[in-house]
Amino acid sequence: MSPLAAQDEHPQPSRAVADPGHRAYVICTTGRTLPGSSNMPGLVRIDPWKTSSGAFVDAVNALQQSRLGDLAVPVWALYDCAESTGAVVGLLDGAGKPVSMLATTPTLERGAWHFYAVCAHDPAVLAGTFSVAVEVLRPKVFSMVLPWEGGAFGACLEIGAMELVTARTPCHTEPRSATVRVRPGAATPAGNRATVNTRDAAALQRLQEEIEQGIAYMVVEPPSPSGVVVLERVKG
Amino acid sequence: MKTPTRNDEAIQLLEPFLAADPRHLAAFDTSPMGHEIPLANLIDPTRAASSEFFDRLGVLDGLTFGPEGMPMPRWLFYEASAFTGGIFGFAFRVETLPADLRVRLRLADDATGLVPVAMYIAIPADPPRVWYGHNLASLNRVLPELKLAGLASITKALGLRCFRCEEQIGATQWDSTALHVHTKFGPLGLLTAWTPAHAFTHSLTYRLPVAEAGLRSAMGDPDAPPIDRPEPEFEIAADDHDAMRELQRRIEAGERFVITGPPRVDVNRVQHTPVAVMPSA
Ligand SMILES: CC(C)(COP(=O)(O)OP(=O)(O)OC[C@H]1O[C@@H](n2cnc3c(N)ncnc32)[C@H](O)[C@@H]1OP(=O)(O)O)[C@@H](O)C(=O)NCCC(=O)NCCS
Repeated sequence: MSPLAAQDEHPQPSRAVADPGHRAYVICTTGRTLPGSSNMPGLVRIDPWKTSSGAFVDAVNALQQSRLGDLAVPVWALYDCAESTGAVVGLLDGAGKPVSMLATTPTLERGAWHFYAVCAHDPAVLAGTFSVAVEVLRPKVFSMVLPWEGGAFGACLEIGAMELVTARTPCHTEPRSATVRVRPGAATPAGNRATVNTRDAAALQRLQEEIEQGIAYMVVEPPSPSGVVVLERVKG
Repeated sequence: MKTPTRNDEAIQLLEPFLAADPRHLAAFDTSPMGHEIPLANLIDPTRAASSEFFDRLGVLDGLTFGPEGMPMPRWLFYEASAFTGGIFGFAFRVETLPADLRVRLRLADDATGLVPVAMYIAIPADPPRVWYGHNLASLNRVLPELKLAGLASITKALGLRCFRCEEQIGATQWDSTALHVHTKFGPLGLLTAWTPAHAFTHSLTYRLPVAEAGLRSAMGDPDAPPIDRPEPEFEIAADDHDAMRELQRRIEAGERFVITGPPRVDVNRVQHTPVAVMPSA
């Protein structure tokens, strides 16, 4: 069993939106239930199935294309995999223009969401963007693929306990990425401390092999500037 | 027993596969309509050894969607496909393929294992009942010598059953040949008829209530029960953007429409899709 699954089934209500300077938006279909939206007065809701959504969605796509480059979500895929199935959430500036975004897709596990394409013009609003996603969707757990170099480990660890699902991810465009599952509000279960240099390909490979054999690792601290990540080896 | 298809000769040579997070496996039907997925063909995207199979899914996508201008980046096969939902499809064993085909499919001389030739990708929209199908591809047209007629329809039918999907949402273009496949499953409720949020504004978004009759009919089971289809009242021509906008305006005003059946292709190769008005909810 996953070490995260062993914990409280009910997610903690998350903190209020961290960024009082910005209003939040969500692009999702009218039928989508957003468990936390009543906590968010002023939340701007955009329906991708209405013609009027076009200009706003264009602005969101321009934002991700300028920030993510080759890793931007193709416009059709953002429509299919987030806007029509899950949601795109983010923050607005005073003029109502999107300044950040985070795409989300529900997974087959009830209450579990996958987060991706997180970006902002100003990195300072990234933490607030995560807060909005967690507040609006109230995920029991969310997964992400984070590149070891420059991934949003810090922002995710602020939210909860982080289980490592993969340490090397060759099925992905960026093999030197981790797949993680974050349980909002949860504490990391106690285990044995371990450190791994994520710039050492052989060490990452060994870690991946251990995970494939069923050994469970939690990420405790984001990778240091020299690439060393602190883990907790817990009972799988 | 395997539900028969319209191309059992091809299906006998092919093996079904499913790429999905093992955490979710219990949610899938791994023997959809009796077409059992061998254990070895359950591909775990989180394992490093699955990487080669993902390379081959990319080749399949490149040969089919590449020319459509919608190739899928590799990470999407992982994040918004196998890890969140599922990739169901059919594959040949490399060893059974003639040498010239191995070259066209970009296989190394010493390659082994599965070579996917059709796939249906869907992710949950409202799990576990409602799914969004975002990729359907088949090499039937690209490699006619393989005689894979009907493969996209069979793959989608068994994929929907494998995902235990009760309602499927999807988007396609009014001029897409895929409409010939999707309409085999039954009437398609229109959620959008003109879609500025999509890369191609002349896309439509549809909702298919998944029913046994539709699945069996689409895969070509000769004993499939008939599908109820309303009489069409008008057609949307694939080059008539004004008609799409007007239909969208009426949808947003609360009217309901269904695509009743397959498009008709006129002498100028323009597709005309039949539509009926439904009673409002
Ligand atoms: C579209 C596609 C999935 C069809 O695959 P396939 O295995 O040939 O499909 P099937 O044989 O099951 O069904 C195709 C149907 O479309 C009909 N059709 C009509 N015009 C067609 C055309 N120009 N091209 C292809 N099929 C056409 C076929 O006659 C067939 O209907 P039938 O069974 O009643 O004869 C495949 O060509 C493909 O991968 N295309 C590129 C990607 C794409 O557009 N995918 C759909 C996105 S939603």
